[in-house]
Amino acid sequence: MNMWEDDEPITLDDTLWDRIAEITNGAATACFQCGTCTAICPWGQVRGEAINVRKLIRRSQLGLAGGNGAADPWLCTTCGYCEALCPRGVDIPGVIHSLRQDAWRRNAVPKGLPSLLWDVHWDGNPWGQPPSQRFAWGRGLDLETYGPEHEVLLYVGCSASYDRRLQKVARALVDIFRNAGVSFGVLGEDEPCCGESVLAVGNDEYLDEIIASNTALFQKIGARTVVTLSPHCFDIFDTRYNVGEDFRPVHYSQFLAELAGEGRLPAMGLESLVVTYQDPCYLGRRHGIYEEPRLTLESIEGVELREMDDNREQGLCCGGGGGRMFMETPAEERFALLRVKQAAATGAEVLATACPACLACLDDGLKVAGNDNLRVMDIAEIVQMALVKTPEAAVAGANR
Amino acid sequence: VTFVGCVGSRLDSDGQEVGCSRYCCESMIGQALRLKREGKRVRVLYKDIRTYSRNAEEMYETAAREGVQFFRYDREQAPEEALAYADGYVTLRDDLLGQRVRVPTDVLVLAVGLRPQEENVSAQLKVAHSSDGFLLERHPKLGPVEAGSPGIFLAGTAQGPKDVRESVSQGLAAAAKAAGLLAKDTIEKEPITARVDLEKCIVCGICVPACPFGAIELIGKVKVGEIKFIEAACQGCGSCSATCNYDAIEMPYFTDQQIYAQIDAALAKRPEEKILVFACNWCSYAGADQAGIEKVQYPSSARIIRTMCSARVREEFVAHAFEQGVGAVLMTGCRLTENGSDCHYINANEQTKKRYDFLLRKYSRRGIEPERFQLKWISAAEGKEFAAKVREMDQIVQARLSGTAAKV
Repeated sequence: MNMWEDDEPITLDDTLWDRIAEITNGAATACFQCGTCTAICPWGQVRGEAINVRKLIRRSQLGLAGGNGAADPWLCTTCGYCEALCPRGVDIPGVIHSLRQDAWRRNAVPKGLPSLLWDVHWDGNPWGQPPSQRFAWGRGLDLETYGPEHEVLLYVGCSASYDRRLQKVARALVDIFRNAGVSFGVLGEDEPCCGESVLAVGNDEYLDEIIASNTALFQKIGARTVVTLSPHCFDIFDTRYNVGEDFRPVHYSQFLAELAGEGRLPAMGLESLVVTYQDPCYLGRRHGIYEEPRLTLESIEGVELREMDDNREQGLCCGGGGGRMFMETPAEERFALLRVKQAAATGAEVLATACPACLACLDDGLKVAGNDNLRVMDIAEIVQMALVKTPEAAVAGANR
Repeated sequence: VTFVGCVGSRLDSDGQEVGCSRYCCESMIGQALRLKREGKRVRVLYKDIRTYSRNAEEMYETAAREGVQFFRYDREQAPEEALAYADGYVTLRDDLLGQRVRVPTDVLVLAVGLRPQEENVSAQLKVAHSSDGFLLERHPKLGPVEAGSPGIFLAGTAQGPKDVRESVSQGLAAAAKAAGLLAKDTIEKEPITARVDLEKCIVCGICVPACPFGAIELIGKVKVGEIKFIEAACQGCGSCSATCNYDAIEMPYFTDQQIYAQIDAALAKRPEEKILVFACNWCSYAGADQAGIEKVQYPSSARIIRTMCSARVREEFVAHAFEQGVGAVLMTGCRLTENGSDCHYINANEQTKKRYDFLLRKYSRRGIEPERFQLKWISAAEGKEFAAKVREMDQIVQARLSGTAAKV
């Protein structure tokens, strides 16, 4: 007798099927169960055994949620590596998002996630930080509130507003914009949460409310070009918001490339710095922005860029996406640990990235790994350093 | 609505492997998609989806995307074992999930596999069938719509499971082939068809069943009636000639006289050192040729006599060779296995086999060592096998000679 004969058979429930098919928008139906997703999911690398994404997709094809040996949909960092390699082009993160949505309706979400929604609701950020401290990052910088006279709105986002390490990135961007003569404004204490964390954990009902109120705000202040610090904020503005024709969200790495193209970035130089670059999933795989950040790094005199084993389309996720920032991951199961080792193997002094989630996760990974020869920096910080620290080099570069 | 694929195809109820029915996957998916578009809940239970026809894979993908659900059931089992239908539910083990699933079903549709027709047609027309029971074409590449018997053409599912598109293509090809035949007033043939000497013929009728093509008819009763040769149907294999006990049937260019002369010439000097090889024109002679092409060496003691078919080799040829003191005789022909015959004259080599078995018993009784008289099927590609067999027989001949020498 086969093992399975002991199990009670699953009875297909047409209503359940309809609901899953509706919320996944049919995304899972095209899957023919090759299992590429299971084979390449980075969780398999850190856990030493494959996480069965294939089975999760099969269950959702049948109108079933996770369970029974299928991958846990809450593990997913939505890095999109599986989707990039899927031969049927199945939107696997989309299916997982739908399953999370379904979990909210069934009141079956992991502990701690409901309080995240309350934090966004009461404090305007998912970290539960006081709204009064939102603009702490800009203290002493003499920043202007965004108005119609400004070329761009600098949208800093929740992480960089509160996290001390990430605040430096926001300040670096200010420095760069001023050096490049960009007229810009900020929203200061009134800057709202974009809602990406709510999207990531799959509560689309609440997300709709956030988007509606933010859309009204952007329309009121006449936001046009919005430069975000985080690829996640950029992604949600770009894909979920419908503010108006003039509304143009860009990630700062794109914006720096635009400035360079217009000849507005001053020449930059450093004595010598070996850098490797971590592709943030929401810039790279999600929006195909692989080259702009690299061009910015390479345009700095003295910087040598070395690639890690997994790069661009095959880039390894930091582990912080898909709401994983708000869930606990045991230290030995963090992707960042692998990534830091890959970075060290290139012989780079700096592991650069362009995303606050990557920066935070990789910094943590570096602490666990313990490596005095490597630093984690944001591209904005490297550019700032190249502008400010060695004016001689900058002048030399400009004269060339 | 739940469709079940591979019902009576690929595996029959006795667990025997049968062929893929080919038309069913596309047909099933096409219908499933239409029903889905009419708002029905449609599921397809399958072993493998084989949508090989043009645009069929695209249709499969469309059906999946539009919400037709697909379930793979156990490929090692026939559907009646793998599936159970009761109380409005089909229960199966979903192979992809590794769990049993109950599928709500009001209408169960079985995609039934194509099976070959019962014997009668192939027997009546003397058309060969392959091991799966479908009629066999003359050659898979060079004669795909012609039966082995001239003037009979195959189209569509007579030859094997096909979808509509393939059946139509083959039907058109068969019609064109038939038109080519009808466009001429006469049929041109190689001048090797059998000649019957009516004076010698006693109308015993033994040659009638020997002809694989039904080219010999007995009109009236045995001994008093008449034998009629249909020359247009004769392919010149010589089976009839070998069967005839009255030397009444002569094969032009392969006459008894010519073959005896060849045997005599081959065994003129030191016949005890020689291996007389009878090779059929199509496979074995070409196989010997292949040994040459591949530069595979075999002993020079071999003497090859070509006939159109191995069934042409009559008892008296072998007897004559042994009378001349031949070292060994090797009969070769197109392959004949349990799965069917590769014979270019439908199944004439079955007669070769029968004759060989009979002769082997006969010579064994007379004290001729069985290893000196062998039968080996050699296909046109088996040059190495041919050479190996000749080497083996040469050793037998040499061993026998040294044994004889020792005795002296």
